[in-house]
Amino acid sequence: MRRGFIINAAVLVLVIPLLLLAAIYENVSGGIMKAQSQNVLLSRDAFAVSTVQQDLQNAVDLSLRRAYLTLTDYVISNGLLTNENASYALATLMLTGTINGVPQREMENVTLKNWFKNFLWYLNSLGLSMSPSTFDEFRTHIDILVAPLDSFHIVVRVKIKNVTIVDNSGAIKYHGNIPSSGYVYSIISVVGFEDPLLPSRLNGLYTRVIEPCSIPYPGPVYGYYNQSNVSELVLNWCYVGVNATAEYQGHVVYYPTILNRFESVPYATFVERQKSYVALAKEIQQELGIKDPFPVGIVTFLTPSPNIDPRLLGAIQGAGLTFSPGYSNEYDSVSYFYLNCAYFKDPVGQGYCITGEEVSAEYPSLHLDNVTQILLFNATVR
Amino acid sequence: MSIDDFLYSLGGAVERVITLVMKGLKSFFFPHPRESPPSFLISGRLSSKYTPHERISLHFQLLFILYIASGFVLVALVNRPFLFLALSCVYLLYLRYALNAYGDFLIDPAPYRFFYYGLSLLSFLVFVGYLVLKRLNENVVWYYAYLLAVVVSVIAFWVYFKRKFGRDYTYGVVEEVKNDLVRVFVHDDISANVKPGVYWLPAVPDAEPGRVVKVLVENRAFRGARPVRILEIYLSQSSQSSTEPKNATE
Repeated sequence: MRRGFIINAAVLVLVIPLLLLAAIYENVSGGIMKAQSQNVLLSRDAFAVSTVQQDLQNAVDLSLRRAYLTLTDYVISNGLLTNENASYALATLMLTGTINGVPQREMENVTLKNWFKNFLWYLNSLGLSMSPSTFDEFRTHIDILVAPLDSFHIVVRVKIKNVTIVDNSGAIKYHGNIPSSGYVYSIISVVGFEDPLLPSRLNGLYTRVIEPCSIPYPGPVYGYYNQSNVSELVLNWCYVGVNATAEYQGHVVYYPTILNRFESVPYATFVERQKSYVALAKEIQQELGIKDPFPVGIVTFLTPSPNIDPRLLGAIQGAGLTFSPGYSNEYDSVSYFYLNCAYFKDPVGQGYCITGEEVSAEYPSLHLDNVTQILLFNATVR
Repeated sequence: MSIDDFLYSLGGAVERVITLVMKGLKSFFFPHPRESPPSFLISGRLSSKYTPHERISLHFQLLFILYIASGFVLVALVNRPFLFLALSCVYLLYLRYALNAYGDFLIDPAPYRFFYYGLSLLSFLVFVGYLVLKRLNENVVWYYAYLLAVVVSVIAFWVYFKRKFGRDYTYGVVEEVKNDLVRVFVHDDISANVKPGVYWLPAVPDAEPGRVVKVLVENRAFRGARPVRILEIYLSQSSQSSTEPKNATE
């Protein structure tokens, strides 16, 4: 009998396309499987990364609020910041919860350090790991900046650069920044918080809560004050947003931003920092696409008259503030300059001390300098 | 044994080994037809009824199947293209060596040579094309188009082979005559696409054991052809004598 040990040649020829078919089938089905598993991974990763961004946003929101409150509290009880600037202090508080290296209890569990720890834990629970893997590394990857946004708002901008998320098999699941483009922003309003400057300068004997006046931003858009509503400025203890830098007849006034109110520095340093805050504010306003930005300067008015605000006069006297000769009666009532003039005892023309004039016969003790008068009333009153 | 003797014998051994290796390499790359048929590991175990012709044919078949099977594994399953290229080089070189060294033991080497060279080259190109397609990461449609092209070229190859070497007859040796049937041993014949073995065919006059006969085969598309009946009887056995089974000649 013949044995089928040799395949006939025609079959041999047909084996080639059959094997090719098998290879294609394997490739196609393998491709489908791979695509499916990649889809699953992708959706999981997208979930992770978008969640991370949302989570970072929440953490930054919460942290900024708490940091601002903590810094206000710290400044009121421990004195204004003399070395580090308020922007850096707030950023450090948000990151590590410390001021001058001292941990602040209020920042417990709301620091970004804490968030980072939780995030690592979350990634681990998904079977992922991440570089940076320690907080020290993380600090070099995080880009955080606190700046005033306008007179009554503070903004923080956060980005974690060059994050690499790797799964257990070593495959890179995410490489890039968090958020993937741009920054995470968080904005808080300082309205309703205590003004850190007044209690600090006045030994805690006097305090004000930041509340905007009825015309919060005097100017061509919202209108100006006039003689009839000067009483609001005097009696309501409210705050007005003004252009950070204003000039009248060659005399330039640099109004403080909200961050400057946390600092106690010589006039030259104040001007330098005020300029940098204003520049930052402008930069972030542009990033956020604000077309007509609000001014950044913030002022309030002190009227030390026994008839109007006897507690203020008492506090000034109680804090032992004195003025340089010739300035005691010419009140410059923009609180920042008024208090710092007394505190630093600046000689004439060197900085804080600005001579003012009586604005209204009704309130003879409210003196305002020409530049401020222009800003508030669109004219010098006298 | 002194140290000198030992070292001399060592040197001699090394020399011998080198000569042997060089000789082996030389005969591998520049093969000469051999005087004696080879002994193969698997195809050598066929029953003694089969001649070296069948053994060599089976050897080439097995080699080719091994080649495309491992090619499939390397290309499609584990994706090792360079290993596949290396394997192809070794395989094609060996095919050349074996066809040159032992091709003369085939009854009619030309169709075998053409068939195995052509088919091996074709399958090599098919795999390479597949690798290229995979590298290009094309749409599935292209894969199927490629498959279609491969099927067409394979059929074209087969058709060309059939036209060039194909026959509708083959040769066999009468082993036994029983009434109106003759038992004929037919050799493996790639031209007629007949499998080797014994077939019972209708008897013809003059069919005596030991005689070489021309056998008509019936072609079946993509299946082995089947011997149908005896066409001619060669009374002299000159042309086929060297390839006849032993028992037939004795």
